[in-house]
Amino acid sequence: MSNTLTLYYNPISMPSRAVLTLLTLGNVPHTAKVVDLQKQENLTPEYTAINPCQGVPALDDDGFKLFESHAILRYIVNKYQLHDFYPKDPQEIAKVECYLDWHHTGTKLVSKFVFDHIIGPKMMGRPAPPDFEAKEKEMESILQFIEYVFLGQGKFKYVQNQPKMTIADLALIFEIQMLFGFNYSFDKFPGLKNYVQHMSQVPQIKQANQAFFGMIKNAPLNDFIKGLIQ
Amino acid sequence: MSIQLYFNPLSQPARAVHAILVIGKIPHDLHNIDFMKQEQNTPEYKKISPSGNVPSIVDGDIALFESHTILKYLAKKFKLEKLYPSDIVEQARLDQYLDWHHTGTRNITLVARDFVFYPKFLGKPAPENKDERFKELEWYLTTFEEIFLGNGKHKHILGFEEPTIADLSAICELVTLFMLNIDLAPHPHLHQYMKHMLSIPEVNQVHQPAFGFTQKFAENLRQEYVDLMK
Repeated sequence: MSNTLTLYYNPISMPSRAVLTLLTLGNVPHTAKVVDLQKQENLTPEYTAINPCQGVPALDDDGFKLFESHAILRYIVNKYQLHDFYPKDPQEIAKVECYLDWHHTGTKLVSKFVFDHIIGPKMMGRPAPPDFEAKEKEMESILQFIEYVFLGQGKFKYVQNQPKMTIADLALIFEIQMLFGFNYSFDKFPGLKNYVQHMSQVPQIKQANQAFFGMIKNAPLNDFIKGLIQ
Repeated sequence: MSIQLYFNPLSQPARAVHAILVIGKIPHDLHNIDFMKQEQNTPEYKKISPSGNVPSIVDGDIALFESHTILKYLAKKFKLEKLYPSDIVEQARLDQYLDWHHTGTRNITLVARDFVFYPKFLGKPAPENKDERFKELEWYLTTFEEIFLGNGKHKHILGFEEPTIADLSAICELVTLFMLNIDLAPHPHLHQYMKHMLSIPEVNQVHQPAFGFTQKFAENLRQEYVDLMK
């Protein structure tokens, strides 16, 4: 396989880590370029020409440019025939896609909660929104839905009961791990806790998390989280 | 065997799925879920759609929720090649819009919900940050015109020759602008796009109940919206 892919990413961005991990797991030759969001490199005309939405990640495959992490994940699976990470049966495909769609207005509320109420105020001096308790309750109802529906009340090893890890799992895990920065106790959701544990231990996922773990390692963390970020 | 569609004619994503069934001449049965009677919260419906949302479909043994997953599943199953091409590059391009939609175009309905539907029909007070929310909405509409309609160069999203599932999803959401009575003068490309999409007979057909609702409840409707409903 020739190296035609350039992935533009940021190591703290959750969807960027999902795409990087797929490339590593699939042994796909690629060049990874960091987009420094703090220096607003994503707002430059050069980067806007690659991704008009100015977000990360973005892909340039020998001139074919793509934004939206799920579109990128699917394209890589399709182009490199990474059938381990995406089903072939139309109904199983639809189940994985159902998760990937729901993610935008479901799982994303979890990381939004952490950004708005923890990272924003503590690390960026932004004022915290006033409705902490309501948002925490909303966030926990999302976790409950994930555990109940997508992880089969804790009975499924992977999202939607797929036999192996798919791109749905890669999309989900990095979002949930943002709760590490909140020192979250996952005890309320034992099925989700098991999932977070086994997914966090996948070497390529651990590798993609190095910068994020470096950011949180000195914060007060419970033993479960400490064990996973070693 | 017929596709069973669980829907409500006032639901934007439900109309998109209804439209593809009609366009694709796919045998189907419609089941209206009455929100006022809380039919979405019955145990029977939750078995089909665990979030209680519409649309959902039952196709033989499989139940699916998330409208974009359903649109893709139906397009692939019934080989509606123009609506969702099988080429992986074309799919990836459309996936960009379909993914962006959830946190982009969908804001139209969220603003309408918070500032029109909830206050008018449920007596819930509107949030205080009205100016901020409407300003943010203008940004999404401009982004839609620039990135997805190529500032007027494209007849359909991302320049596809014929309407795709991206257009079906988008137009159903854009119709909610009627209830917001937003001035379309700053968005000429959007206006043109809405005119074109609503002239497609099947799209017009599935919007008849929503048009009836708008004519009944919208106040001082701008002439451009009255004209779009003809």
